[in-house]
Amino acid sequence: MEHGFLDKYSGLDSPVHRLDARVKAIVALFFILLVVTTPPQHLLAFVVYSGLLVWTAALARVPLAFVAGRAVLVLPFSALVALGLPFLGGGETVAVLGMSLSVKGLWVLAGAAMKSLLGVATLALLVSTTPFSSLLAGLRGLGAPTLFIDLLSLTYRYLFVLVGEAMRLRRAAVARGYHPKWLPQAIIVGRLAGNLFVRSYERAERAYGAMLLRGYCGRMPTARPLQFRMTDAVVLVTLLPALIALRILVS
Amino acid sequence: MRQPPPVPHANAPAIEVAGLRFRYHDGTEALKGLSLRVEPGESVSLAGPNGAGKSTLFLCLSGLTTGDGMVRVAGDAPAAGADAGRRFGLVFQDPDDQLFCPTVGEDIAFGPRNQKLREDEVAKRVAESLSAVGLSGFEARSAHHLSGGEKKRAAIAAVLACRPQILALDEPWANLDARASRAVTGILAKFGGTLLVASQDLYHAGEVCERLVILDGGTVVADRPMKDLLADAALLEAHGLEFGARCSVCPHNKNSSAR
Repeated sequence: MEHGFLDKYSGLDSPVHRLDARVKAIVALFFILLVVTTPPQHLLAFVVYSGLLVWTAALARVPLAFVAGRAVLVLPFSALVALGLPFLGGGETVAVLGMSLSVKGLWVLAGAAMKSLLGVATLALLVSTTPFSSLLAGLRGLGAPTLFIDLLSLTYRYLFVLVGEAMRLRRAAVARGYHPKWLPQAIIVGRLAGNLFVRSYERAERAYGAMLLRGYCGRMPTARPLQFRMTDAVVLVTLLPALIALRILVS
Repeated sequence: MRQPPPVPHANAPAIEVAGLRFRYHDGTEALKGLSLRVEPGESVSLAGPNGAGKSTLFLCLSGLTTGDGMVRVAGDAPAAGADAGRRFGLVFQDPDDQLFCPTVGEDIAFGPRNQKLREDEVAKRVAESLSAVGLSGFEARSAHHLSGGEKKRAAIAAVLACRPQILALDEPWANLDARASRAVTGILAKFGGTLLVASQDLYHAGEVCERLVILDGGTVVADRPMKDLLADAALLEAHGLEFGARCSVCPHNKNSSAR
């Protein structure tokens, strides 16, 4: 698995990519807030929100299918939370395939699906238009806790190193007759996980040693400050009120 | 990359180790009274079988671990990170341990930034270090996407950017193809400070080091000019090493079947 899975398009060049990471993070957060606070019955609003995302993706030349693909990944999670609601919600009911479902619950389910899709699509777009290190610098600039940023940074660097190590362990087990489908072999999964944990622990120790030797003293040295240009200011002062106005108009 | 910064102990030996002992938690005694002295500007290769104590010695020199006995690096006791890599730069065997930032550029800037250099000087160091290892223009790349040889060179650049007086490398040629190995050899040959290389690979080490120290069982068993020791096949073999045309199919080998 490669980093492209996360941020394949963040290195492109477009007006969206050139914006300051802080501006993008604020606008994305603001947009998600709007989406989340919109009642699900206002379908037009969700159409407009989707349109905005599509337009931004086109402007940034990030393929829509990529953003949609990332967004769809969240559906099982929101389903897990909201799928029971049509059965549990009281009030008016409607018969679907012989089942009596709560209308209110159905709306909440639809709302949860639409909001989580749009929310994750927004984040996917943010990550696809901002190199990860700039995004971290942006979040740091907005006052996110240093420890949290450092943790994100190390996770980003070592996630796929770990995934690679897990794949190698699994391959080695399969090569010697491990068959994941047989239940008695489930214990081997535990051993592999334990092995992976020990390896990661040792790697963490070595990486920390490398950091110490190059002068680490509790915090990552901050990168070059981000550049807040005129366009960033313009985007910020026009986009935020426009989004608020939109939110008022559509409801 | 040449001039190391002026230091209080300018005339002190680069490395001075006497009677160094180190025991791991599991009871393994990795160093058993090791003594070694390296003068500034020397290039020394440490060789020996697996478990001879090469990596442990490097950890003690870096200050990441402490053993019993005297250890002086450029005249002072080692202190990991106290000078942000100005005195002793250690390149680990696995570059994935050493490249811990999202991009190569940030990784190389890590040391210089911790040395509190101005951001324009940091940028200059990054560019110079990358150019010294032949990776100019790699600043924005993610370490995850580099080849093994590129990763190794980036890890060396990250340490070189700290401008260490002493550069120590643990198995710098391990897992590299011939071309990448040659690139590493070229980088090391250009380094102007004191050079310590722990390697089994006497073919490559012989090209960059003038002196060979053989470790075995946690002590120094031989310490002579490289050319001298390389000629002593029996001694090398006794300590798990080899050099010379041992390959039976090499046409340059006198005993080869290919002749």
